[in-house]
Amino acid sequence: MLFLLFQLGDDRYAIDVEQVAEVLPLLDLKAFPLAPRGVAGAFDYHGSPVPVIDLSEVMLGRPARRWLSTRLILVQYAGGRRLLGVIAERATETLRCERAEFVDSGVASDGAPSLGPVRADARGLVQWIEVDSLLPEAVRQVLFQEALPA
Amino acid sequence: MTDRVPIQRNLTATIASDQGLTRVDDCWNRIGVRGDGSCPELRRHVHCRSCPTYFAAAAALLDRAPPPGHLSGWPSRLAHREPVEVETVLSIFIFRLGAHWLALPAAVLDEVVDLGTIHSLPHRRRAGVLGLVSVHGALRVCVSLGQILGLDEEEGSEACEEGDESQGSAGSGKGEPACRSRDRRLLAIRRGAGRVVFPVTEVHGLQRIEAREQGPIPATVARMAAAFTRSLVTWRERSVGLLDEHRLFQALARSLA
Repeated sequence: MLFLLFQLGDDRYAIDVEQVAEVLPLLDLKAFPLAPRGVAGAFDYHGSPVPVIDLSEVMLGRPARRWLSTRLILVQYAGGRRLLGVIAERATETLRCERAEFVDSGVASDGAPSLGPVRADARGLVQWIEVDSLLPEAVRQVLFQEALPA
Repeated sequence: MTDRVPIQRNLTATIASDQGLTRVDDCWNRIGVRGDGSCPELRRHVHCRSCPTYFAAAAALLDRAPPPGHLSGWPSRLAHREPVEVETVLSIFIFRLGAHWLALPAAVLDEVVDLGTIHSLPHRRRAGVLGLVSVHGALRVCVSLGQILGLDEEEGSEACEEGDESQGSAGSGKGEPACRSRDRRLLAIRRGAGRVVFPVTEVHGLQRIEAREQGPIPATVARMAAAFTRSLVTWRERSVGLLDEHRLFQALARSLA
């Protein structure tokens, strides 16, 4: 399997590239000042607006650092029918490995995405994360159950 | 499975601050292949370019603010460029496996053949592999799709014997038994150089569907099968699971390796 890796703070995560439509640089976004914290804005992707969240802001309470290594990952959300932009730090590496190399960590935590299957390498643990579990409920409600203001 | 690898301590050779300034320790010039070769990791990685420390240093170079003007032009480029995939109509091949109606993209279907003798392989008992089958004189690996997807292939055949009409089949409006064992076929599929056959309970045939007719997979679908299913399509008031051929062939490659 092929994964795209990124970092949230010091923790490393992997998402299945099958869920990734494209990886873009940090674009300037049209901001929505009244949107909840973490919704960074939206941009025009082939004529349709795509909402973008800043994962560091959502999860850690601080915006992502605007570095070259911070990328905007365009993911297939909600079974692939919607696109969502995710600003993630250090999204510059891929990992090719067997599915079985990710093992159940046996730990679940409330609030944060449940500690899913993990894989150990020389730098520590990488957690396999599903796109659909990236968003806390509150943000998900705003993004996809109400139309964003034009 | 890889052996447990101890965490390399010298991976913290690079330091990044919030201003994006990176101080990189170029150990490859000092103790690596371009230095005196005294680095202990050289014995494991042979050359610095295979070493994760080198890789991390390169990645850390990107932890800096982009140069001015770097991002200009991107927004207009993205707004106007043609989308990568424009698939409005899909051609799929619908078949039944046990009680489950499934489909595959028509592009992977090679042919449908009558069920022949499956010659089991004596010394290799791999999960999902049933053996070899002769298809027009060529030997093909025969697998059990049910085992790979985690679905019961026999489910539904009890219903056949009882003449359960709710199963239905193409053209059974007359109240006949829903399926007969002679409906079973072998499906031969192909992707690139990979060719595989598997038995199915019943074959419907090709169907063209609009891409937007695809629906999400409900949470009630067994997790293993859901991983292989791209979407759900409604056909003749049934839910047909459209399988993801990429994942299927990945799983087949694992079984046959």
